[in-house]
Amino acid sequence: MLRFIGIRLGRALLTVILVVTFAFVVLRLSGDPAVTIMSPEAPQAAIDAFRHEWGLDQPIWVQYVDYFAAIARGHLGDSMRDGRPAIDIVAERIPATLALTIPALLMKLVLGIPAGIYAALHRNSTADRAVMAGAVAGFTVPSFILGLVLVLIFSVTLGWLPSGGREMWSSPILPVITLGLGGAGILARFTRSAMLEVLGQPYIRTASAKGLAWRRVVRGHAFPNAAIPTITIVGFMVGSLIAGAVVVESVFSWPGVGRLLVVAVANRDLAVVQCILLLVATTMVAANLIVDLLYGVLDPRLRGTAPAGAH
Amino acid sequence: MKRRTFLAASLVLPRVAIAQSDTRPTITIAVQKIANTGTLDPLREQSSNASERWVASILETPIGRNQRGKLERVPGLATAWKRIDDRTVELALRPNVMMHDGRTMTAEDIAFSFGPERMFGDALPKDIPAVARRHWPALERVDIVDAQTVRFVNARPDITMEGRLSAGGSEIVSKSAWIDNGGAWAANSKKPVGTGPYKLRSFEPDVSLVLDAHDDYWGGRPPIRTLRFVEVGETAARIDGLLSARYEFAADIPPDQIATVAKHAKFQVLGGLVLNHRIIAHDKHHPALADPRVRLAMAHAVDGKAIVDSLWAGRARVPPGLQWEFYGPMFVDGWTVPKYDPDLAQQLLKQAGYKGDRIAYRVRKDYYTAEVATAQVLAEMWKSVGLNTEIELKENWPEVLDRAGPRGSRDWSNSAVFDDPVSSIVNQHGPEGAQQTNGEWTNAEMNDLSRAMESNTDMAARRKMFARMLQICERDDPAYLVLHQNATFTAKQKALPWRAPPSFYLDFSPRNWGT
Amino acid sequence: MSGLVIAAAEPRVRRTRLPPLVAIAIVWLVSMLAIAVLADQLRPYSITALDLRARLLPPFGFGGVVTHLLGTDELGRDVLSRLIISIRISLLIAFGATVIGAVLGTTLGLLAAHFRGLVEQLVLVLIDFQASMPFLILALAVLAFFGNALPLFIALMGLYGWERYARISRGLAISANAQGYAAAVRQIGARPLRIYLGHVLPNIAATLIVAATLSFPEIVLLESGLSFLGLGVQPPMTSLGNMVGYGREYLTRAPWILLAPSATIVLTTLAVSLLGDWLRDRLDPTLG
Repeated sequence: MLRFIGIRLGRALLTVILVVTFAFVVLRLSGDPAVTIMSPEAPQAAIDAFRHEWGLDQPIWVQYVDYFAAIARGHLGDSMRDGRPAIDIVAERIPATLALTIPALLMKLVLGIPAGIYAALHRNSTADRAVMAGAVAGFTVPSFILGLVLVLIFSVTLGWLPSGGREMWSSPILPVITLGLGGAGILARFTRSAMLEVLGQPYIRTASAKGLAWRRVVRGHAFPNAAIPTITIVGFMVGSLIAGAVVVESVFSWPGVGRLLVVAVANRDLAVVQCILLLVATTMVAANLIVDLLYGVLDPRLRGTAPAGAH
Repeated sequence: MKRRTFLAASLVLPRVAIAQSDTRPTITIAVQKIANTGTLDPLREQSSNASERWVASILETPIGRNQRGKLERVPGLATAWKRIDDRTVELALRPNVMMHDGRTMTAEDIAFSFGPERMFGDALPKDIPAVARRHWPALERVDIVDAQTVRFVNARPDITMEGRLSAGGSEIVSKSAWIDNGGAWAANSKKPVGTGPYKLRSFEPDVSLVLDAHDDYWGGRPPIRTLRFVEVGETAARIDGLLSARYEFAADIPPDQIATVAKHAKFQVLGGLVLNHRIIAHDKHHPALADPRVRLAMAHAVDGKAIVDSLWAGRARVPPGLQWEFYGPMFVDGWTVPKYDPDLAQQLLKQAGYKGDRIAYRVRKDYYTAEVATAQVLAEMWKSVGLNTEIELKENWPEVLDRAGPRGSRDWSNSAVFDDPVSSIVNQHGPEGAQQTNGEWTNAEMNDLSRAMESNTDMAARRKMFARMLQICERDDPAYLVLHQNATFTAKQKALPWRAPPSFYLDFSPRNWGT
Repeated sequence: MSGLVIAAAEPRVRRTRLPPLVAIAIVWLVSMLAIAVLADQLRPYSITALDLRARLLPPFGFGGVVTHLLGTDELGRDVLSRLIISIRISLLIAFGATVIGAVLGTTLGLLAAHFRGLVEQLVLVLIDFQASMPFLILALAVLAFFGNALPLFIALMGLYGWERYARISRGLAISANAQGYAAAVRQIGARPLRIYLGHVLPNIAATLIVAATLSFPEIVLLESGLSFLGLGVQPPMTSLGNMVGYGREYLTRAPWILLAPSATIVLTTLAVSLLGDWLRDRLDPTLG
């Protein structure tokens, strides 16, 4: 178990380094921050001075080494656009994003998992079909369209809820619903699939043939086993808490990390982008790690190997 | 910073409580972009369609502009100005102008605003002096005559000094506030302290800009208690927010959405032409564009009126070349853009021996109003005369200007910053202009004319030079083609007594509120 | 691929009658495929042909004209023609990307399962990398460095979701290796490639196909999300996502611009999902 965790942590570190390196290369080679941050009309002397000030006139590998050296000293860099430490800028936005993504995650779990279980237990019934049609509709409507339609109904026509911004207590409702509906649909499908698979296993049939009450079979045997693939997708959703709301934040003018990422990428404001990516990667890797450990708890056979994953 | 925000919030709270008896409204304005550079200093943040909306609410120029007329010069922080000689302008300052920090404005503030700590010093980020030089290419010094009088002295004769004193880049800041705030540019660039009708309460880059009424404003008590600019990038979200009463104003309404707002009885869309032309700049070094006839053919192939009538609902116009009536005596009467004539375009292409070589046409993703739509219309118009242009959508300016590719034509816009062609054709296409410094285009005669025009003071001779420049840049050796004059539209609650200025500025001063 | 399906499915076929919903889904998908193949013959107009005097015309029957059955867009282009070409482009992207993702992911997964050790760890790092990297950055990288050629865009989308196949194939191959038949074949001296292609793959094909039916709609949706951020298929090219993305501004003024492509997305993904579920039920040997 210790060895497993050791390998897992090593992998996690390597992943984070890969992510940061990739983003570094992409952002540095695809546009000059000096021009994007000042303006295309800025005089050449100004652009040269800016590039010198931020070390952009160095060879890229020197910049890369400098960047990692700074990280090693615990300094994540300053925003070229803002002048402030990137970590401060990102930290300001995190509460806003979590105020959307955490309730949305709860909504996905509360709606998606019971719906999936219900559909699986009533396979091929009208209820099953309705749940699945609803689930598919939920995740196939692009979230920006869903968001705009919800705003048209609940803000413009009915005037019940704010259309955007973050000022009122009711501000998060529409964006959370927009985020949550799609995810709930996905989760419902996964859960149904996983349940059906488990319910078809011989040991379930054996258990139920032995005269155990169906309810107990489902609770005692089906749920824990069906939880394995479901946990994978939930882990992925947890990992997306930080950057999973880019589109919804844009539609609802929500001052979160996703919008910051879009702006920072557009400005090639490397330190800010890297800061966000570090957060995203760490969250994702941590979520995966927890998922792997949970696998071990739920299914001892998988201990020591990473999970087989589910579809 | 976080702590500072909290602190600011706690300081604000009691004021709000006291202001309960204040019956003035709080107004929220949804804009597409508050500031492109994340700062509030007009020497860095100089985007017409973003910061021009609010800068003048905080910071003012020595000479004003009539936002209810035709942007002609009017007394502002200076009540009068006179020429001492052809390189010196003397300003008589308005007495008792209270600045946001509670001090009275003096000649010191004017001199400081144009001094080394604010504009031209070595300690500033390098782009600030460079940009300031673009605004004031030959400013030598600002002399304090007495507390209420200053003289702007140029190194060479310049008849546009009054124009420059009324333009962006010449905003006056409080000297003592600048110094009290540490004196460094970085801190002050986010805390402008000036003389305008509203003073800064808070600024969160890419999210919001909140201004409070400056009750001692020299132009009268501001009509709005608090102005909140919020950044709402999505057009539909701005409109929906307006219609659901989240915002009182929604700026940057595309022409196609005017009808969407106007069908609601309680709302209206105001606005119209601004002093800004959408143009398409050419790289004359592109093999297919080297022959000027190809570039001229591109202009003849464009039906500007059709674009204006459809995509702009007839509310923009095809202007008489890169000039505005606002130029007054410098306006070249009778000049037009090359007329829409596909046959002529085809002939020109034939004469130039154009064989259908691919010409890259670089476009940004709706940086300009209806940009992608317009580009697709243009590509079709060019295609119909045999021009093989290929739209390349680019994400940022470096990609647009990247020499590799090779680059061909690209989208751009030019403004009349003040009432003289030096502010547009010379500044953008002359020897120091962006089109030449980034290597797209150059022309020896144009460069000679540009230099001569900057220091010449004979209006008739200057007008002749300008006419020749237009001939060069739009006919003989096209640097660009002028597509249409831009317009800006602001949607608002009908009941609010606000009028749309003929500029991007959203004027909430006492002059522009009420009947 | 279809050969594998039959090989895996044959012994289990019990009922041949199609549920009506699945039949409808198949009909829908076949007609979408037909539209994609015959797009150039079916479309009434060129997708860039515009008429500025006939902008924002509503569909026929809603005040529009019969020459533009589904109305026109903000440039007076025929929505039906653009829808037809968009179906072709989006199906091409979704199919292409699904195949690329499946092949890439399955190969890496099998490699990991076969070699274990360092190779396996490397594949797992790549999987984590893929999951941790916001797709926005990947899309931006491809756009910035390689421009917006369609084949490259398809390859980019193929990068989305490969890790799912890798996870599944690795897991299944490991357990297959542990099961008797692979070991038996190995003992008679078959080479690894033959073992994987001839024995392991057919046994896990069913699961992979179901995974493909899941990622197909996701790719269509991802493409529309990228269009929203301006990183999808670029004008003047068109796709379902691109139509929805650019049409969103006209949601109240001219909803038909985005309704037709949105409905196509929803119905197609619904059909693929129905088919996928049905296939899963039929092919998965554990289901009774």
